[in-house]
Amino acid sequence: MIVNAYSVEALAAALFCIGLAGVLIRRNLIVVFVSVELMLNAVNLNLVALTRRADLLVPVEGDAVALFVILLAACEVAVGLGILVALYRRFGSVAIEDVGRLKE
Amino acid sequence: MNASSAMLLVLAFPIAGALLNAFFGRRFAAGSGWLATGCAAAALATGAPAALHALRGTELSVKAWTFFATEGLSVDVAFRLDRLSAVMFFVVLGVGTLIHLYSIEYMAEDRSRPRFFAYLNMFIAFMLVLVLADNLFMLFVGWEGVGLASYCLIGFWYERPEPRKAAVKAFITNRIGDAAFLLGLLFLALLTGTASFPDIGRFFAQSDPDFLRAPVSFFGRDLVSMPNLIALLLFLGACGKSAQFPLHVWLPDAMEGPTPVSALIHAATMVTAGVYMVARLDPVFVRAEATRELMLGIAVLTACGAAVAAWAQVDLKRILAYSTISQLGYMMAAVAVGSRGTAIFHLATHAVFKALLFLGAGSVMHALHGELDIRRMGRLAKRIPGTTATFIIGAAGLSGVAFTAGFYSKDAILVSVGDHHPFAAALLFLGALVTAIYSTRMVVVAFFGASDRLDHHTAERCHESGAIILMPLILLAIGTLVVGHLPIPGLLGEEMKEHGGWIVAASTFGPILAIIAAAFFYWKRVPEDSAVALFVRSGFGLDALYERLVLEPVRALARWTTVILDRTGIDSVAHGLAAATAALGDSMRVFQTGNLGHYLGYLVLGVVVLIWAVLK
Repeated sequence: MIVNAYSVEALAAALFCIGLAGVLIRRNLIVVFVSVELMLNAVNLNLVALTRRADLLVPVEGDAVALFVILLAACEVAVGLGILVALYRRFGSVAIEDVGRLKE
Repeated sequence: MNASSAMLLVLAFPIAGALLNAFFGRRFAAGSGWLATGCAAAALATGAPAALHALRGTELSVKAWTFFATEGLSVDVAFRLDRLSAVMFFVVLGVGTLIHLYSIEYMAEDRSRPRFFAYLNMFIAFMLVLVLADNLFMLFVGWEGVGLASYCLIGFWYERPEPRKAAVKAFITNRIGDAAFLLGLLFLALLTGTASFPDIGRFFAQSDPDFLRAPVSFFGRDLVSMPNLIALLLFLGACGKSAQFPLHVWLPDAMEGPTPVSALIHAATMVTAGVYMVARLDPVFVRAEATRELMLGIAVLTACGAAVAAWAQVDLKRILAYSTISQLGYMMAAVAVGSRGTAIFHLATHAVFKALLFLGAGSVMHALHGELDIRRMGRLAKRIPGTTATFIIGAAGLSGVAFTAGFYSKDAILVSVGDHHPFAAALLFLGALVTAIYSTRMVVVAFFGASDRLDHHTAERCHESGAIILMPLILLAIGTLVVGHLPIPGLLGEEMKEHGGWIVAASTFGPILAIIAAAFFYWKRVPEDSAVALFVRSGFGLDALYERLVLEPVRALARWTTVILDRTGIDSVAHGLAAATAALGDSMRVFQTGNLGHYLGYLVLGVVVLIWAVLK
């Protein structure tokens, strides 16, 4: 089955919006974090799809960028999960309203 | 040691004395007076040979270093010793050293002696800079320096409010004159392109007279000629320093300072700086006929008005202060008619006899524990004979009794003025008669008279002063008898004019008759407080007038600026800005919830707005 690049871009946009909604709406920081990952992968999908498109003015080598983003996401997961663990130890919760100390 | 380095050493001595007393004076409080006196005497001894040479005509000029140099004008720290400055040198250091000596005993019980003597030496240093200056700007340095020393010394007893007020009054009144003076100096430097006195003389000698007569244009209107304008501005400065009407009001109040200060600064030396300056800048004033007319008018007004005001005083030092203003009027009248020789002659004789009178008044204060009101004295002659004898000699010099100092110099001034303006000379002669009258009144009421008006307590403790006070008095008394015979006008290039018999008769017998008449009148009388006397005693109400015309409007303006302009105007703008900022901050606080979710929402909103702005 040959998949149209435009459909892939539409899927990427949909995934990005789902991720964004998750970031904004969910109260559990772990789920927020997962949503961020979802947004990153939506971008990856978008990059790969753009590489396949022939009607761009400037050819895009999106594959390479996608690899970088995957690498970055891996690092981010390592750091982000570490922070989450630390937060849990400090506050006993990973609910977003419980770690709201920025006002003080 | 050559003459140039001697001249710099002359300046170094008083400066060193002032610094030593200022920084280490407390460690040798008893010796501070001797240190200061020693420094003044050393300066006199070091400079005397060079000054004597200068009197014989060997001019000396020393350049220490360059003060500042701009395009077209280079000013040096330079000093010159010619006949004029040599006379001033002897006046300043001769009288100055004796007054230093006198102060040792006079100030013996004051615990701030080191400060006093540091100021006194500082004054001597600046006065020497003033009289030895080789250019306009060094003159100005000395001019302002002596003003500072005067301010410090008038306010020496700053714990009491009167000296503080008097010091500020003296300083501010002088500022008014000095603003004009500085402007005059700058115009002069601008016109001549040089600051040094010999070069200024050469400039005026070589310039085209028509060029100098050309009027100055100011906002399209022709004013007086440049020399006239400069002379007018310089004269305003002299009015402040030399206490001429209408800027003389500070001098009577300056008597709040210690008496040696009144003798040194406010009688013998500093107040004569204005006369010296006019004499020094003779080339400018020679070409300023219109200004000299004005100067003569003001000088005669000052001389006569102050003499009458002195007549009505009851405070011994204020009599002498008004007398000083009056005598400065005589000197100013002499320079106004271009006779600087006689002016400097009178300056020198006046320095001697007026210092003597002030020091005598100080000795009286010493004897009577600060009493200055002549109505509460009387018959002091038998209690303090030494002071009385020297005081009488000083008063004779002031009155112009034949063969004393004032006789010769005042006579010379009357003759020089008479050559140009007989009417002015006649007024000055009347002023001289009033001088004789108030001098006699002062002597008779305080030292003689029919009644002894001392209160019992003071009379018991009344005592003659010690040797250190009496010695300067005696030396100055001898000086009063001698200094009139010195050929000072001749030294400054002026022949003493022969004059007719009736002038000699008038100036010889006039004062004597006035003295006899006044002595008879005041022998049994004590000055009363009639309405006229009180009015004249207040200096013709000028202080009250200035209070009305100047001080009250200034205070009202100050109140207006604080209350209206500052508090309601500027402050409300500042407070309003602060309040607006605070209100804005309060309204923004609702967004700062501390909830991470909200913040992420703002972030996304921001990104959306940015994208919308880019893609629009």
